Amino acid sequence: MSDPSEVYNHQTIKDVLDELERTAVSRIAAAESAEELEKLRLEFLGKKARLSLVLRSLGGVPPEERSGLGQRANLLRRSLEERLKEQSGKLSKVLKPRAFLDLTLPGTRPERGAVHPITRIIAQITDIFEKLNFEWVEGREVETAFYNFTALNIPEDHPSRDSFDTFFTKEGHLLRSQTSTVQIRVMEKRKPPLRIIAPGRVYRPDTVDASHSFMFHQIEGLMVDEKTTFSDLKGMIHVFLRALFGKKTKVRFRPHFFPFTEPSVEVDMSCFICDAKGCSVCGQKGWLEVMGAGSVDPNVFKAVGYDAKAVQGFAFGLGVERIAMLKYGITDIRLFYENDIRFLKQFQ
Amino acid sequence: MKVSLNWLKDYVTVKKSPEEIASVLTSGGLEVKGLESVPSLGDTLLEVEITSNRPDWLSHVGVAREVAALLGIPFKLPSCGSKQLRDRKTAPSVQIRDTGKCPYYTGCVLEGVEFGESPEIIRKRLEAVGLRPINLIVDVTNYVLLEMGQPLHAFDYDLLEGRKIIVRRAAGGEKITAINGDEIVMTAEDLVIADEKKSVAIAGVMGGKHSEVSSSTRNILLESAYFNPASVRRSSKRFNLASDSSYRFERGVDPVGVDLARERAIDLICRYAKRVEKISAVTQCGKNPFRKRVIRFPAELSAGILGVRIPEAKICGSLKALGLGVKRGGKGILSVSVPSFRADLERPVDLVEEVARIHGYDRIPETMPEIRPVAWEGKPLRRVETLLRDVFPGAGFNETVTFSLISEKILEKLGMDLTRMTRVVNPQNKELTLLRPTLFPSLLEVLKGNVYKGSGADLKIFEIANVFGGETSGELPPEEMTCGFALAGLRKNHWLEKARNYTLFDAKGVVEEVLAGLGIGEVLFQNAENDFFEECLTVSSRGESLGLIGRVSKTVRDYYDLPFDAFLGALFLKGLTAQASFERSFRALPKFPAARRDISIVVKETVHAKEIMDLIAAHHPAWIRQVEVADVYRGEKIPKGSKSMMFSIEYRSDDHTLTADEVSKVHEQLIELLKNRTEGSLRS
Repeated sequence: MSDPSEVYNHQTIKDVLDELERTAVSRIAAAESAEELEKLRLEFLGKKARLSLVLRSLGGVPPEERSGLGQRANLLRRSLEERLKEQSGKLSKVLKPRAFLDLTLPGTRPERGAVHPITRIIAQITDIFEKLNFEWVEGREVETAFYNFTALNIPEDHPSRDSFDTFFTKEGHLLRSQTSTVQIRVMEKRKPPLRIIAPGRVYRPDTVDASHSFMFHQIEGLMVDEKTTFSDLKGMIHVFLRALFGKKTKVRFRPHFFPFTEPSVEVDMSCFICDAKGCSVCGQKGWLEVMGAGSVDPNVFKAVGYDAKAVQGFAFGLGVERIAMLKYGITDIRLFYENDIRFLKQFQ
Repeated sequence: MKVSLNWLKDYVTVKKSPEEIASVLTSGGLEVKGLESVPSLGDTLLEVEITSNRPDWLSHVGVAREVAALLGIPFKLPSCGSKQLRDRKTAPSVQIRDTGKCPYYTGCVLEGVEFGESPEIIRKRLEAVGLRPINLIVDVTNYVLLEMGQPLHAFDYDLLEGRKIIVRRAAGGEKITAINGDEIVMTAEDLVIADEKKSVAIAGVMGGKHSEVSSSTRNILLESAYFNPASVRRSSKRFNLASDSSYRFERGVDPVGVDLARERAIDLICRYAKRVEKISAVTQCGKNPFRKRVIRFPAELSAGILGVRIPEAKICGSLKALGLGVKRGGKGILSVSVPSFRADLERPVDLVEEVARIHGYDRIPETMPEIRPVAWEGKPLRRVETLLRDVFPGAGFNETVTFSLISEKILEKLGMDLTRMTRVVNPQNKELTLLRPTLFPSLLEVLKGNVYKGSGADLKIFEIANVFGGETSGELPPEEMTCGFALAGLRKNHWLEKARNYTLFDAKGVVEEVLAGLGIGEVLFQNAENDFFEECLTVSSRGESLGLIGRVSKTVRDYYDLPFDAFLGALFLKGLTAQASFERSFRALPKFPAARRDISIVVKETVHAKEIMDLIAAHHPAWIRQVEVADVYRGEKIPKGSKSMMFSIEYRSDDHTLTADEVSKVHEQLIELLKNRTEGSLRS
């Protein structure tokens, strides 16, 4: 390296050029690393490099030698630039041994929990109905006999109450045994047209076993308008079940009895596991019982103060646990309430 | 109920296979749950499930009538008239003292009856449907019950004192031994059949042991009656005593069938007994409750409700097939008379269902309703719920669903006031009686269960459910939607990071995250006391209580056998919803760059981070934009009872780029201020 303030005389210029022409190219070719090459670049072409000084000193050289030396210096500079580039390219092609990194180690996943399978099914079902213009509503869990029975056309001392075994409190209130209570609560407050979907917890003092629990979840649906027919109910339910279980789903409607609907219907769906051919899930029947429904009984309209001659509607109800068990292949209802983390995590 | 196919064929000539019959009945609403072929009897049994609105199906005749209606084939009743002469003088004495509970009671005495076992046809049919044959008299009453649906009772006439029947209410505390051996103590609400001295049967529920027909019985009083359904039901429930009789009476028997069934039974006894000396005239006490009902039925109604037009002629045909009388009036109005066995048909809409059933539900088309839009109401509570179900799983919490009914034990142990809480009086599980006032016990049970099963040491759970307050006679208990959560154990150990125990700050952090998501500001965390917690913080904003968090006390930890600390929290959705704001507004991004400076200060343990942060923020509000706790350190070089806290401070001005000198000047002043105000020293 040289002192930048220094100026070469023409003899030194010649010496420097001679030396560089002789040695520089081979030194570049011998460089083995990018660092080494960078050092050489600075030595040969940097601001403080001798060649740079040569070029700066040309002004002081006698005119007859100036153009010859100038040409030599510039030529050398270009050639060194090329050689450096060339060598850099060569070096980059040589594979450097990298530090060993075990890429089979697992990634750092952001930790995520899951919503409960019951919530998941409720969300799937309510989403479908919300897209069909139903409104999500919630009701109370502790109720009076009026909302759970009387207004729903279930008289006292009537055997129809047998299907609705109920928990009672000291003050004669009860834990709702069905989400149909929400129908009454909403109709009392609002006028048709009405379309509601109401998920929630219900309670019946059943002995707990693989398919029964004293608390479970239902979803109630209700549509009331001037001319809502039984055929509309059939269409709506089929659309819903196809959205939930797939396009191939077939439905079967059987007469049944519910005190709050007339006509009443029990809905069977073709088994989505065996395509209605018969399997262990559907008990070789090809059909699965999935929900109850019907046209709203005029007595229910009367109980909420509607003009039973001016409105018509349908209602339906389904058990969330049953749908979840079918969809996920769960065979013991108790798993839902045991909340084993290993169970919950499966529904991420 | 079991139905014998051979037996059905006495009343209806049907050639279809058992499977076809089952399918027809099921799609008609009389669900056949199973078919059982009994080769030894050459019979097939249908296991049918009968809804509570159709007591007429609780008999072979009733099921046969439905088969006939659904298939459109003829049906015939069994013969019910015995030709034997009746002796007027020996008609039994019957008195009804409560016509509300028993509107109609008939009795007939058969004298000098010699009988043994029933003929093979009766025995086999009873056995097929699961009844044990006893003797001709008892078997005939059972046979007729299963055939016609009318419960009958046979008394040993000689054992009735005064040879009298009195239908009356029991005296409170009156006792009777039922045929099944149960000793029953009755109330004044129960109806009994009595002789002059004592009760001999619980009306409609079960006969008494004392006057039961035995092989030595010679004179028989045969009872056929109509009892009030609700009254029978209440007695049956009260004594937890159900029978084939009570099951039918409480659903309502066919009033006309009362007389038919009695005559059918007399006929069978006369046919199969070795000898019947004399049959008395029938005593019919009270009034047969059957009232002929005619429904005005506009045929048009069925199209309006069902959404499909069924021709009037077909509607008439369907109703007639069901045994209803139909007269066609003008303008499409039908006068439909309802037979005695169809008390469930009261209104035109009931007939619509019958028309639909016979037409076939599957032949009704599927349509989509016209939807009129409804003004949309915002549902802020649901938005809050949705956010919670987003934030908690996003932070690694798994959602649980636990029972709303809990045991009081832990609450009792913690000395909580249990008087103002709501309980169920008929629990399914004797332990689980209390409508939970908090989600904590349920969450702790889940932690315990997972620890016990070894499901993992990193436990983070949450649940959104109602908690309940106390009820009064006039008012339902308050229900408060609450989000409870729990963290316990070791925070997940990833190979790049060190595992660590959960702390209260993990609970606090998730609450802060929720509140930020809900746009709730001015949040206040305050120390509080709580039965469950060692340390507890309440959360509020603008005076509204939003929740609480805490570390469980040793008592609680021991009660649930937890091997590590547990942190619980509860957020109240009502408060969150009231304070939540889903509006967001934009603030212009800063024009000038910020400078960051740290301060480490050693202070006494009791100095709160918040005090220092407030001091920093207030020192130069125009420039100091953010203060964060960067580190809290205790240990080497720090005196006991003290801690070193490092704060990271962001300086920024809105009108120019702060120079290093400007920042340093303010920062030096801040350091001096903190040293003075916190009695702290700088950490070198």
